[in-house]
Amino acid sequence: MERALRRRVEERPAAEQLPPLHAEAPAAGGESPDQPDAVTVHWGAFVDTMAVGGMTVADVRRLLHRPHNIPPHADAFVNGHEVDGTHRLAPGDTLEFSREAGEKGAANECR
Amino acid sequence: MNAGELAIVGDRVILRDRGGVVLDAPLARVLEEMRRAGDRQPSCLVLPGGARRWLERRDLTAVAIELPPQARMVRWLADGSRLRYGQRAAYERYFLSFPYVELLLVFRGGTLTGYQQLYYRTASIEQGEDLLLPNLYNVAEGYGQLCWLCLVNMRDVTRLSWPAKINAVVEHVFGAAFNQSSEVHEGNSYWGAMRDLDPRLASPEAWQKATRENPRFALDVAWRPANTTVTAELLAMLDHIEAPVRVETAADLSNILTRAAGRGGRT
Repeated sequence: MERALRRRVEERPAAEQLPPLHAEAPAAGGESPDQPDAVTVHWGAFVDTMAVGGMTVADVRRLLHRPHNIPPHADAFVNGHEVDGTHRLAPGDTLEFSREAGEKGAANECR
Repeated sequence: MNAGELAIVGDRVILRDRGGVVLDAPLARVLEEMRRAGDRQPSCLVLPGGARRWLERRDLTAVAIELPPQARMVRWLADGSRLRYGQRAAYERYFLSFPYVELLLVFRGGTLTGYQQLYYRTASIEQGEDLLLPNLYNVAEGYGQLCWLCLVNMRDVTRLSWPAKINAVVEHVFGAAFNQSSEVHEGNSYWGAMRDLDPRLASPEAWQKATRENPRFALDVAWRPANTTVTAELLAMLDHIEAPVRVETAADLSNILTRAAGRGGRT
């Protein structure tokens, strides 16, 4: 059961139905997308709003791989839903690259 | 400027020249400035992304990283997990809204020192420095720090460039699963302490539901004040590791003058 829980990923809706994060709540912190094709991209400490609406996730990964060292195998999430490289970004989307980095705290609990 | 006279008169420090008083400052403030005179500004010409405050003292670097409000995917200890932490515990993924996250870190020679804290804010550091208490597992009161952040499992960052170092810490904060290690080892965590703060944060499921409805809702939560500031915490963390020379009273200043004057008492 625990193994099943470990990597449970939410069932993601069809790519075109992912609700944009900015739809009901305006962005805070100065990253409000003024450009019509703006997408908020974050990876680690990097957060930026970029004109990449219409591009695929794989395109953005390639674009940012060198300048921001995004690992080729980092998971990609759009508006909180895991997507693959073919997913096409829509204006207002938030794209997060994330890589599982183990667990916090001591290595193992002895029980 | 012509030779002047520096005098301590009561609780004031006064600089005079022939024309009269040139400067007049409170002694306590002058001593505070002297005490901090060893803290340097950044030796790197461009601050790494996210770095909002940067202090150097000898081989120590204290840095404040600010992450803007974001909803992030994190792994969180599952309700049904038999174990409270570790690789064999069970985790679930949640999409959670965060306000501004302030990471306060002290490095020595580029290596993490164990002085590392995590706080929240609901506005950028440009608008103030007051800190708020977070609501996370693995952030606990301990080791002389109000909001100590557990980075025990982090890879060594010594040889990384500053941007890569900071990115590695941020990646660990959000990429390494949250669990009850601090409940076991530090006896507390801010997840436990803040669980009753707001019904939207009562469980990771409630937190995720509120995030789906409004990914910025964390900015509207009435987070509890930490009653401290970014700079105060950075300085306190530096002081814990490398205490500055004690110069707090006129007597301390007198001792420094005595040492400077040498055995004869005059130079």
